[in-house]
Amino acid sequence: MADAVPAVGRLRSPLRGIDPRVRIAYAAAFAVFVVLTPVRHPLQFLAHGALVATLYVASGLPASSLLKRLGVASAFVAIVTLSAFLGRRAEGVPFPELALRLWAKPLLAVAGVTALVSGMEGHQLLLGLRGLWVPRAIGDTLLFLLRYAPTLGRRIAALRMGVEARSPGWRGLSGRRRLLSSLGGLVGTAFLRSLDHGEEVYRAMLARGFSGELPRPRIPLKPRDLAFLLAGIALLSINLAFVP
Amino acid sequence: MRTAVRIRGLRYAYPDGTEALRGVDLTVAEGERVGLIGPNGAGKTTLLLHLNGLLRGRGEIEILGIPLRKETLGEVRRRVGLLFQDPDAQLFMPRVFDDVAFGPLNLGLDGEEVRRRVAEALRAVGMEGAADRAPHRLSFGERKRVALATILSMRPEILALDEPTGNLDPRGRREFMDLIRGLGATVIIATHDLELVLELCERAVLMDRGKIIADGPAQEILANPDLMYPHGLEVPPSLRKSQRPL
Repeated sequence: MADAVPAVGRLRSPLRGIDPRVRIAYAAAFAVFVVLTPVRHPLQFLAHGALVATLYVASGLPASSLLKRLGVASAFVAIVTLSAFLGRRAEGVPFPELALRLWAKPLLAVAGVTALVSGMEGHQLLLGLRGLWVPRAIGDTLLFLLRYAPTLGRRIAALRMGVEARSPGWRGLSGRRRLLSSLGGLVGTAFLRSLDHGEEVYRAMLARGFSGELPRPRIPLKPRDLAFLLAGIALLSINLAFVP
Repeated sequence: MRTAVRIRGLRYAYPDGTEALRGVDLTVAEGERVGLIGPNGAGKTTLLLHLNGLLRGRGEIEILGIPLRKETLGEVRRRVGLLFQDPDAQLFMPRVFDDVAFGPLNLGLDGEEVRRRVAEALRAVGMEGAADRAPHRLSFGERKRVALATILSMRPEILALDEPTGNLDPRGRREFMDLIRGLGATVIIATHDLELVLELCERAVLMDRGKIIADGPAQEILANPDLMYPHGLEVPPSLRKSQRPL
């Protein structure tokens, strides 16, 4: 699993100092607030938008990372909006209202979540999830995937080089059968080696007192993290309650 | 001086029938640094895995006076820190902090003590700034150091190190050797790095085909070509030079 935004994995920003659990929790809260915002109050959407913009500046992320995500999300939302418009034309729902209802909410939510979460490195995101409500089995499996995907990748790359060094390259392997048998051998070897490796990892865990359950260190939230979460939720509540 | 490790008549065969240890007797005193040397397949790593109870062969093993049994496994694993040859086997968490905290958390220590031990262990290996980094982002040498920190955080009294300098560049090797030298614990090192044994260990144990062939002062054993060559080893260059006639 790569970093959420590899190119900015190590960027320094005020938002980066906030505990990953708080950032993920606030991203979820933001999405819920946006969904709850009634479409007949466009100013509230604007206020949410202003909050996202502030978070985005604080995150230090390049604009391209937001645009890329919005682009992907827009494509999905466009299909939904169009099909909903065609379906509801008979009901007389004006297109601008329908578009706001179907478009603004998901895109705002995506922008908010991007600003809050995507500057994190993969391991921070995962540790944040493990510290929240993600079931233990899923969290622990993701943890191993995150840790060993690069290791497995390195091993497969080394095996691939071994094949290429003794052949005219993959394209040069004459015949589909030879190509398939080389590929099969490579995948099979990588699998067997990863089994061996898994056994060794397990031994190393046992050697340090592992008894079947991965411990989760309890790291208390700092006052700054709590202040960020409370202030953020207060702002969203004010948007909903007081902005016309 | 207390006995740190006492092994009597240890035999072990892998499930495929390969006899890896064939009656090993070994005693290591507390504070001693012992180099386990021998060709590939001599049984060095298998022996180390027994010290921590990861493999269970026939025979007797006592660690600091505690007989190694199922019920004493936890106590023995707290006292024996085992460093694996491949740091990727040891570092399995997504963040250095969690890896170094893994052992202390398994000991049931509270959060404050765990944090203190993590900081202390990372400082001991010169990686104090790496707590929040992902292990796969570290260089091989850094991963080796962090792997050592994962066992130091459990404050073991005996360190069993499997090829601690393997695949390290000369500077990394030198730094790692200085690091081990600075640790006050009993150290048992399984290695092919004979210069490391000469420099760090006062005693060498030569193994081959699951048996101890020779046990004595490192200088004497490593300088003896009649002992080294028949068992797939060579006299280290530094000793060869000193043997040359002037």
